[in-house]
Amino acid sequence: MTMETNKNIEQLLEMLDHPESYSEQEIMDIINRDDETREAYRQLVRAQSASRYARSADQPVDVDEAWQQFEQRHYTPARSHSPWLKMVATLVGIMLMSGIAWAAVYTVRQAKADKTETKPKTEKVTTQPTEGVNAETVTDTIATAAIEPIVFDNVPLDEMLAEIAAYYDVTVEFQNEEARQLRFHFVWNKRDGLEKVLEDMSYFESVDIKQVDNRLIVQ
Amino acid sequence: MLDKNITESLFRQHYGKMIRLARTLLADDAEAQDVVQDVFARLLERDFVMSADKTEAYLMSAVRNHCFNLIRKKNLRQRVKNLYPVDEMDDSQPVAQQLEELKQIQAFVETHIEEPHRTIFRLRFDDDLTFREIADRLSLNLTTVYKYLHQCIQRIKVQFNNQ
Repeated sequence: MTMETNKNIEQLLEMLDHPESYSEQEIMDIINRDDETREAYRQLVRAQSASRYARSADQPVDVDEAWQQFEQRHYTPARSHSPWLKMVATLVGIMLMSGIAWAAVYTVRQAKADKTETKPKTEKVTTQPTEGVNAETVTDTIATAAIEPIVFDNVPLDEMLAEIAAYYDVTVEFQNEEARQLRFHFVWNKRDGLEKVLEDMSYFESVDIKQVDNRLIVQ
Repeated sequence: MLDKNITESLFRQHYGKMIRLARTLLADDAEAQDVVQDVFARLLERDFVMSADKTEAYLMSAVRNHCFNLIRKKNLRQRVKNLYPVDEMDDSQPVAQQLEELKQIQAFVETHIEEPHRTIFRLRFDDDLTFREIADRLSLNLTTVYKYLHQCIQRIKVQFNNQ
């Protein structure tokens, strides 16, 4: 080991004690002085991790508390209730609105039937149904949102695909027979199109599922 | 959104290992806990799709990536202070292998590093003392402390020279 190397290493270790008194440029220069210093810094990083890893074995792990925290953030009752309340409120609103719209259309139709209507009132026909259509779309969304997602928890692929394929009216062909028994976690939202479902499944490891016409091919 | 029962069972099953990894890569315990929470939050958002036997490896890599991202956001002084990597962070090594190596380094220090080198190593990395404080405590010359620590990490490097 040369005197020069010792000096560089000393400078590196000295800097580590109080990096706040060095500029960023100086810190980089000291670490990257030569291969020896760069390598020494890497070894120090690893030694520090090894020490943290050993100490972490004795650190308390409170999984109950951590889960409660997670549950509160992501599954709070307040959160899961409010969308439903909102949905009910919207639904009531829509019923009222569409009621008015249908009433309006009905009135106009009636009026049209009379053939005694003046122009301004027929224009009303073109505006009102739009509102009716909107309402219908939203109601549809509510109806489909009520479909519960299917949760496959550690289920063999052939079982899972059989159910999904039946729903979308396609058949399944396993070119890779071994893939049948691979087990996966998967959450299937029935309101998703088949394309979206297959896209989600593309994250499955060690299988490849493709759609060719009305067949799902598993490779 | 991922079914609550599945999430909870995954959470309970893997939390211990995940928090330990985060505590290994990060100095701050609160940050480490946040990382694990974040990893599960991501899982929830994207729905969980994965072969059951790959779950652990996936979660552990996700924790490591999160930690690395957090380190990347820190300024140079903070990184150096906590002995975080300053250049590119290697994520090619499987997490399990990386942890096994750290365990072996720890064992190597216990069994193959003589005194006072070992105490210097312990005081610096376990107890976060500065080299100046170590020199004072062991009544050694500061330059000697530098020299011994350097010898110590060189022996580790020779022993674990696969990097």
